[in-house]
Amino acid sequence: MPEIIVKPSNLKELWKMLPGLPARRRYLAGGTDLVTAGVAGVEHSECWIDIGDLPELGSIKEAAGSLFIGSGVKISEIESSKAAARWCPALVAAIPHFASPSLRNMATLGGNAANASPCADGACSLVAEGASVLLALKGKKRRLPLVDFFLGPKLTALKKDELILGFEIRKRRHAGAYLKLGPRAYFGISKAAVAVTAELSGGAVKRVRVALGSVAPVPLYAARTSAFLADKKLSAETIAEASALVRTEASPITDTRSEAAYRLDMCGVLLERALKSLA
Amino acid sequence: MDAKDLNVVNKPVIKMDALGLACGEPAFTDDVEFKGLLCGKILWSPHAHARIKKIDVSAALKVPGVKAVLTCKDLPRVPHTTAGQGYPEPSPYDTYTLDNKVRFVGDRVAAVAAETPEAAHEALLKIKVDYEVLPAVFDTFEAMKDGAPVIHDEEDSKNIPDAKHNIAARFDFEVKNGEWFKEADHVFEHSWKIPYLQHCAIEPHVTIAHFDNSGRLVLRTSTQVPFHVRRIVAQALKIPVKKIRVVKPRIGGGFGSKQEVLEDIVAALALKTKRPVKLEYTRKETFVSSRTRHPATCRLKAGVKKDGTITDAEMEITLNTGAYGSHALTVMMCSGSHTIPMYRVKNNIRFIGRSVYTNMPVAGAYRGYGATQGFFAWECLMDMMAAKIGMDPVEFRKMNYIKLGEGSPVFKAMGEGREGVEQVITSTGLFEAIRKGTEEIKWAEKRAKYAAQSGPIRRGVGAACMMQGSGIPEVDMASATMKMNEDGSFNLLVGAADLGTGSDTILAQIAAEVLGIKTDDIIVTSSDTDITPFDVGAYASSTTFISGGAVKKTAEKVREMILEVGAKILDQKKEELRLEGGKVVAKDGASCSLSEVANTSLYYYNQHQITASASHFAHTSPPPFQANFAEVEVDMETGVVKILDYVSCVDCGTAINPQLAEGQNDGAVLNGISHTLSEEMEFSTNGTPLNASFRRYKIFSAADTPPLRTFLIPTWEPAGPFGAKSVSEIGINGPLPAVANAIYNACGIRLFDAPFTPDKVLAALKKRG
Repeated sequence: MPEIIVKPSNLKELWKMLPGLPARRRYLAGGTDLVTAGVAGVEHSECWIDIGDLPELGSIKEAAGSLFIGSGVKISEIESSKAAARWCPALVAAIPHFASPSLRNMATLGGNAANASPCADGACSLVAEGASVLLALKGKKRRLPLVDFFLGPKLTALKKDELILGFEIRKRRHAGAYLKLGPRAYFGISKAAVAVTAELSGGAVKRVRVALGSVAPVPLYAARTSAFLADKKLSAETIAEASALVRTEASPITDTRSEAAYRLDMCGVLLERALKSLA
Repeated sequence: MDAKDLNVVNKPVIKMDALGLACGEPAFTDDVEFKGLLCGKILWSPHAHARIKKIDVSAALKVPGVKAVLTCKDLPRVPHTTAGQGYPEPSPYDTYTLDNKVRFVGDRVAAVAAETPEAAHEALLKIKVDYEVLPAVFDTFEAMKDGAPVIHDEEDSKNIPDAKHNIAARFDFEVKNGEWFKEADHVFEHSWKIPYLQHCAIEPHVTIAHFDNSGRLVLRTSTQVPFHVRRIVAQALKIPVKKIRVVKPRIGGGFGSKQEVLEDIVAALALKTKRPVKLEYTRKETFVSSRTRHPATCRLKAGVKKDGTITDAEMEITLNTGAYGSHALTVMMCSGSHTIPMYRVKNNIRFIGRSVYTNMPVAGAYRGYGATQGFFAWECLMDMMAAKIGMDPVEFRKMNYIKLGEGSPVFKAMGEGREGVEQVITSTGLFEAIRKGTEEIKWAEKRAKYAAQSGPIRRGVGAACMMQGSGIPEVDMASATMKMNEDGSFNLLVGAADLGTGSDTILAQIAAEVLGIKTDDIIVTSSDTDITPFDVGAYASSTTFISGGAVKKTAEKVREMILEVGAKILDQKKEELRLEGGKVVAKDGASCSLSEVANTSLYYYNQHQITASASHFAHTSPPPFQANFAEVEVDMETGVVKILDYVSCVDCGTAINPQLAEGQNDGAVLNGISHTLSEEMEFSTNGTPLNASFRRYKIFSAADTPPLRTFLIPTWEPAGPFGAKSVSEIGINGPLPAVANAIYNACGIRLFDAPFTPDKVLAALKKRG
């Protein structure tokens, strides 16, 4: 743990205090990644800036066309949000798979994205939701599609001192699913995960977004599979074709959690099951 | 006598330390504060095999707050074993408190004591070690080859049967009765494998070494074997036994890992600094540098006749003992001695056992102690044989398992590290256990129902039966002392080590039963080498059977003394009196309270302290029996195996405390389920552990726990206290074979390699096509 931890009371105060802080500084939100990294001896900042309680980041807001989830919102708050259940069903489906109940009370959605792990359950499902991410740096705001935010394992488009304000999900009626294979019933990092959202119309799907976890350097948007599924009837053949196609989009590795070949297979199996659950 | 005549024994008395522990009372090793306590830390080897050419500790000693840095030059060189076993230990003397050679990644290099953890850590970083890295070997079969790196090339180690081929222990045994496999209609030969597994006790290894006011060394330590700790630390550091006191406070789990004497190094730091020193392993250190289960390859070749007769059996087990041979011989022998007698083998039996050194973490005692490795192979093979001859696997077992009054040549031939004892089965509830289990799991109905299935989700049921021991016959010894107080309460002093198992409670129940009082009237003090009499410690499923026997004898002696005083008070013949409800009661109804007896003996008449001691050892080790049934669901597309139901029927004789016995068995089964589906320590190609943390080594949690249903099947073991046998270990052996057999029933694949992770299951499904 660094010797200096500061806690600004709002964004304005944050921007003001930045110049006076040590150069090696990081934002601390729920702390579930950062503090454990500190304990494991792989996090060496001189200063943590605790943004966990910044009022600007802490709420879920419903506007006319979109839903805003503040980056400081705890995962467990999303779990009980009616607006989230309606407008981002894949994200809500991912929550039971997210770490453990106690960690969900601490962890934030912004932290989950900023940590940029390819296995992040929250980030993967948000990619399927087609979310945008809102960023801020000293009063300057910008917006990115979430898929463009992830650059590699633990790498994001965040500039120095830039922080995530929240995520915006366009309000559209759709169904969602999140399926994950982990090492045990809960509290485990996925071997593979699939998130799907689909706008259904009669027996067909209009638009589909498929995202994959733990099988690429980033939470992966499966663009070709998503495009293939657009405006199709979810027949057994279509699902089988999609499941074959999605295997060509992933690029998993073999590590202590799983084998690459197994992960690739599972992308297909999980997608098939996710689509069947929507059909 | 029968269990129905009992008043305190066989009742779910509340565990005596439960409330205090639940309320967070300071009870564990590290719950007590010591003035001037130093922090001990160890420098661990980064190399799998290397000679230490030079160590420079000068910079480390200059770190402010550092009080001592120890290397092998500072300590006596005494070959010993860390296995906390009876003397002389059957494990090779191949370990040194600190040595000039390191034999695995995580071996001790040097030790530091400092005022703060930070100073100790900094000192470790400043120790300069010049290593000559040696070729290393990680596989047991490679290690036995000519020309393999010799891990124990030192000249002063003792009792290593073949150091050149890295063999830490070997044992061969044969019963020859005609030509091998001559009568067999079918012969099977397969190998089963178990990986490195860690005990994962929630409390890590922790010791505080301090001094009493006469300068004697006191080790307050999280151990299963206080008396062996005293003896082995005295041996390793060349100090007299009388200069050491070992105190075992409450323990947060052991499971065998704390049958290991690792206290020598913190004792050496305290002796060097003359200050109290604490050494507490981190979780990573616990994984890497404490102890593990012996990884095993078990080859089993057996023949069977069409009528279900098992004709011949050859069992070859190769254990990886890691860098040191702790429990190398005994775990290997138990893998055969607990398993082979389970079923009648008509003609020939052969056992070939090897424990092999590798440059890997050190294996040791782990709940199940070889039987886990052995039964995985045996019970899977039983299932395969039954399938081949078209018999129901349960019926096949019923036909062949060892019955009441039967013995086995193996009992005599294979003991723990030496010849065993002849014995026959004097109690068994296996028939009833199987009956109860098949009924609860709905065996016949489900076997029929699951015979023809399709679709991605398949279900199956599987069975496995097993036995264990109750202590080590003619090796394990325990003793107890009791004394009576004015109010009719008693102090019970036992060497037995309660690790959270509840042994303090059940030993009090045994004494209370004899004395006709409630458990509340017994004050238990356990495991303090200055205060309590000797006990080998908590291992080998011995405490209830052996320590319980000692307590029963002690209480019986005390009862006689009470009755003598009571006879004087009541003016009756001693033979006419009995103890009941806290009173001495005569046949004619006259009575006097126990406090009157105590006061009379202490203050009025023929003044004396009512007190007695007794010891107990056994000539046999009556096995508990168990029938296990698992129902599983196999996902044919993902390879995920889910346990839907697990029924475990255990005959532990009389359960002294049924609630605690069930808890022991549930814990053992969940431990075994975690072995079956999840646990495995992983290593890089140079022997570096890859998942030495709970973050990466996944033990099953409450959310993963399937319905676990334990049923106690009461029997009466004549050799045990109030008919009791053991219960603590047997349950861990069931899940691997029961689940493997259930998977076969579900989808027709045989698994030989634990754990059954989705990747492996799917690969086996694909291979079968």
